[in-house]
Amino acid sequence: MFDSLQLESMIELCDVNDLEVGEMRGFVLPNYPPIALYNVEGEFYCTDDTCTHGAALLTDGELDGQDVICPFHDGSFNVCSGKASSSPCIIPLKTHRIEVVGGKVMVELK
Amino acid sequence: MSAALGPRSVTVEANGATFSVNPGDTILRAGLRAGIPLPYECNVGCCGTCRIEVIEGETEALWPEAPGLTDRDRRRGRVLGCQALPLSDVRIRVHLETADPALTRPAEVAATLLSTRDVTSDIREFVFETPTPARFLPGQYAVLHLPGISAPRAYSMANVANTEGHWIFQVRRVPGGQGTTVLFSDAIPVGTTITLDGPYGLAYLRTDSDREIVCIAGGSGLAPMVSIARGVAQNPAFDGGALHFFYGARTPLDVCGEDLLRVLPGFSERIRYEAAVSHPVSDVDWPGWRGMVHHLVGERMGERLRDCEVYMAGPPPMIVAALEMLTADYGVDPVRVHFDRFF
Repeated sequence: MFDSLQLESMIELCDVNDLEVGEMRGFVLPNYPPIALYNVEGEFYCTDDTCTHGAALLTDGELDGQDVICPFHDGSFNVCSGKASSSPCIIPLKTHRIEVVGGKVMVELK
Repeated sequence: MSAALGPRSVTVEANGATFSVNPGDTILRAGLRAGIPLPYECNVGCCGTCRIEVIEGETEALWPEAPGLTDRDRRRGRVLGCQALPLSDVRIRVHLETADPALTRPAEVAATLLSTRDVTSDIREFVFETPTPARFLPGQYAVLHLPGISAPRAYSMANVANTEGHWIFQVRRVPGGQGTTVLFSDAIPVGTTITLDGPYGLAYLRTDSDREIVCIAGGSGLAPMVSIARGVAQNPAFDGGALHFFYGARTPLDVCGEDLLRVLPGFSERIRYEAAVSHPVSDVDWPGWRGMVHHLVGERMGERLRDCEVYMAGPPPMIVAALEMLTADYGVDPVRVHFDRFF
C-alpha cells in the first residue's frame, strides 16, 4: 500500500467513475503543462497532453486502444509507455504516475 | 475513371479554399503551389505528415504501399496528400498550418543540367539552371522529375538563392536506387532539361533567432546543412554569431564538407567544422573523433545545446538518435530542432 508521504505529492484528478473505458480527458493544473488522463480497459494512464511534434492537444484527437492519435497530423503515441507509435511523431511523451486511492484517481507530477 | 481526364478541383473543408490539380499532379504539391499551407515534410510518402481525410470524391495513390500510412490510417480513410491523385473533384479535411511569410511559394519550372562534379567517391554535385531566379531559403529542397522513373525525387539544394537561377544538388549514390541510377548514369547528359518543382521543406534557416547554430549532417544530408552555413555566412542578421558544423561519416574516406565551409568568411573563428567517423578502417589513418556524430555534438556542446538553434539532415537512425539526445539528455525544446524527416 502507499504511505502518506507518497500520497502527499499526488494531486487528485477525478473519481474513477468520471472516465469510462476508452475515454480520455485533459486537465490543466496551475504551474504544470497540460496533462491527459486515459482509461485503457479499466487501467488509468497519464501523459502530457501536448503532442511532441506540433502544438496540438492530444485530447482533441482520438483514443484507439492504447494509442492516442493527434488531431493535427494523425501521428500517435502509446499512452502506457509514452512512446511514439506512428509518424510523424518521434519524441516520446512524458508519462506521469497514477494511483487510484479510495475511488480517486491521483497523479504524481514532477 | 481515369486521373488523366483533366484538372480536378480540391476544396479544403476548414476554410473553403479551392485549388485545381492537373492530371498526374498530387493534392499536396498543387495545394502548396496555390498557396494553401497544407501540412507536410518529406513530400515522398515516408513521413506521414501530409495525411488528409477525403470526405467527398475519390483519389488514387501514386504509391499505395507508402510507409507514411499505417494500417490504422487506411482503416480510417486517410490518404497521403503527397501521393494522392484526385480521380474526381474532392473535398478534404485537414489541419492547415500557419504559413511563414518568408517562404517562397513553390512552382514548376524547366531546369537544364549545366554541370556535374564528384564531391566524394559516392556524392556527386549537379548544377541545374532555370530561366527564372532560384528563390528558396537555405535548407530547403526541390522535387525533380527525372526521365525514366515513376515517382519524382526530392533533393536538397546546397547553395543559396541566386538571380542566375542555379540550383545545386549533392546526390549520394544509393546502390539500386532509381533516382541515383538515372542521375549517375549517362541517362541525363549535361544540357538535358527536366521539370524542377520547388522549393519545399520546413527545415530552413530561421533568421529571427540570435542563438548559436548547430548543424548536424550525415551522408547526403551534407547539402542542406552546407546551404544553411552559406546562408548564415552571407546574412548580416547573423553577424558574428557562432555556427558549429558536425559531419558524421561512415569511414574516413567518406568525410567531406570542410572544403565547402573553409571558403566562407569567418571559418575557424565563428564557423567551426568537425567530423566523426563511425567505422574507422585500419588502412586509413583517422586522427579525429571516432563514434556516432551525435555523441560528438554532445561532447563538444554539452549544456550549451539548450540555447542553440539546431538543424540536421541525414540518415533516419542519425536523426532519431540525435533528436532523442537533444530533447531527453539536454532538454532542448523540440521547436528549436529543425529537420525534414525523409522516413
